[in-house]
Amino acid sequence: MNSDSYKRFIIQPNDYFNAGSASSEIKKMLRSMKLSPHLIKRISVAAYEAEINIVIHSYGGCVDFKRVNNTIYLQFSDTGPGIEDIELAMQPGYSTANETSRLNGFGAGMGLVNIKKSCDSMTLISDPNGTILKLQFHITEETDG
Amino acid sequence: MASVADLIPLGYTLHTQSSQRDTSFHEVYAGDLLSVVLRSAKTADCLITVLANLNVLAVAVLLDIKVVIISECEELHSTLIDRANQEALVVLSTPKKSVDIILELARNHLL
Repeated sequence: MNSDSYKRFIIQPNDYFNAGSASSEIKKMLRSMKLSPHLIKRISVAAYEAEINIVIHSYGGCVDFKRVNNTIYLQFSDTGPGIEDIELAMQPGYSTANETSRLNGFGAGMGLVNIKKSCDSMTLISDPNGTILKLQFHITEETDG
Repeated sequence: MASVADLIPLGYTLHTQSSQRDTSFHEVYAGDLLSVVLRSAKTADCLITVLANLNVLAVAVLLDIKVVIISECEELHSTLIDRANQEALVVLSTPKKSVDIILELARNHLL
């Protein structure tokens, strides 16, 4: 049985200078838990994509990291403007990224697709007041380093 | 397998610490859309990209990529080099195109 751990990281909108720093800190926490490199990569990829979505598309938000026993929970929350059409946003190649984010290498329309593929469970709810993305990753014998 | 030291005689410029010349890499991945890089470069330890920004370094750190080669590069901002040194990443640059870099590495038996 592992002890619970929790941490919150603030994510600023349009801050391309620090984009990825929350995911980087999460990766360090995962490494300290001695999880397998494969699981760490899966969680890191999902965390980075979700963090970048908040940087590019939102008015700002945060990510809450939590481990309870053999599950890693990530919850990304922002304060809007929300995803107009979630079904469309989940389609590979669909992107509403602006010119600045495209110049920074984003806007492939693969963010949510990558997140869904990387996690064991994903819940996405959104309205004009904000978006909440909940992800779960199970630590199994195969993924526990 | 190739090392950073193999690239310097081919005209690549090493921007980060010279002590990194011994860093080796086994597999390269070339890409400029970071979500695609995140999806597909998971086993690579060298990234070739035209993007010369901090987000490339963040992706490299997340994927455990050790070497980043910036293609079609005229100039690198010192902020990028400073961040790369902080993260112990090797950054090289060249005016060559990504495809020509891969062909050159193959021609020189570095892949």
